[in-house]
Amino acid sequence: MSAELSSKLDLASPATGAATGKKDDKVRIFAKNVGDAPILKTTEFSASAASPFSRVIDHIQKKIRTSAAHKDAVVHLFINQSFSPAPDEQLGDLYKCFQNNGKLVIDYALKEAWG
Amino acid sequence: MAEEERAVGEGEGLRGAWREAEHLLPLDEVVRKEVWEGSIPIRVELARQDVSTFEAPMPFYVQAPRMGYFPLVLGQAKAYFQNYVPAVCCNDREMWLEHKGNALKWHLPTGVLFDLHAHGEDLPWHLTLHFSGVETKGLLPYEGDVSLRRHFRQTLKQATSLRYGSCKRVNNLSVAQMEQLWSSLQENKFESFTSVNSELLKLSTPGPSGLTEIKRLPLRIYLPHLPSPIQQPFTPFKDDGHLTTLHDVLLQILPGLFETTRLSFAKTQEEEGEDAGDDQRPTVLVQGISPPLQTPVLWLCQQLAGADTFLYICVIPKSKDQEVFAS
Repeated sequence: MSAELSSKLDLASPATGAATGKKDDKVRIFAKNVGDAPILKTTEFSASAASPFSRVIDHIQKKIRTSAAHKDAVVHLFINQSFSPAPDEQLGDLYKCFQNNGKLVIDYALKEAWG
Repeated sequence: MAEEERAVGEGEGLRGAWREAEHLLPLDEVVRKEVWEGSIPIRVELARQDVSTFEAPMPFYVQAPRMGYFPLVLGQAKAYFQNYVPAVCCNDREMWLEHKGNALKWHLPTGVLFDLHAHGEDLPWHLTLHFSGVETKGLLPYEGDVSLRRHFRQTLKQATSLRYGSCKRVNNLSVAQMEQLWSSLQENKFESFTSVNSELLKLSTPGPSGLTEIKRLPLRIYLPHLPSPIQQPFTPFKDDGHLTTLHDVLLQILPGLFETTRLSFAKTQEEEGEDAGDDQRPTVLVQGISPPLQTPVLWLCQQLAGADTFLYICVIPKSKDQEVFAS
């Protein structure tokens, strides 16, 4: 029994893979500006499913801060115009739960648009 | 034609599911109150490196509600310890809790942190309060009460979006209701909490069509060594008309950990909960309780959810699995 069990237990590794998203899994993101937030040059991009949501916050904030007018801007990100995920949530899971036509739609604002 | 057949099939599935769900959906205030009243005795010690006085202070004891968050009960501890730490450090931003070398996340409910890190340990729960070094701990930035409040509201909206497909129900709460929800959590008042919380959980139409209001089960699975929760969409019932069980969810998300328990799971049912000698099985905890794996998740979501309406499921693999995980 123990041999059988331990061979089955090896499956725990792929399970973590499924849980954390495989390294090469990508998530399509569509970023939409809200209010006076500037439009990004590239509104569609992909990011690793295993990465935390903070990766997207940092990416969008960095792009916006390249213009002098917004060099100290703090961006707020929302999904489906409703809520803001915590920075430590996993992108792949957010995609699975809230994607629309194969894309995770993220609205970004310079104010807390949907507090 | 094919579509029609499918619709009929779905209708049958719904009717079957409704027969199972009908008695599980109404909020059981006895169970919910019992869960709400769960609390953990905690012994807080000041971190040695933060003590600036000749003698270290005595530890601080507090009874922390499971449904609440650490910052809500740490105010008193902070006031107690502030005479022992350098004045510059003593602010909310610098404060963090440690348990056996792990920094505890302030944004998780206290009960979840306990189940995840200290299940089976002796009480009171021994924790260390730090007033320095928070930057290297990978915690979300904490700016005081406002951070927690904001996090709570956003999580509540996310859970509601999963559940109903939109967070309209949260947006429809009045400012006073939202305030009531938050202050009842701060002051640990069940009646005040449940009157608003039930607005978010009660279905608006009676009968089977009410069940279709619930699109997805808002649940999060935590494992001690994973940096983020696992959150995947599950429907309340399956195509065969049976409700989604805890086992269905765990088997899909963590097949490696739960496939092996299948046999013992069936055996356990026969042997009336007797331990089938399977010490490999991970511990599954919801609000400190190990529910039978055949429990419908819908019932857990209605009765055992956290204050933000997410169902928090902690999975603690046995040490052997943990090694497999780590590799």
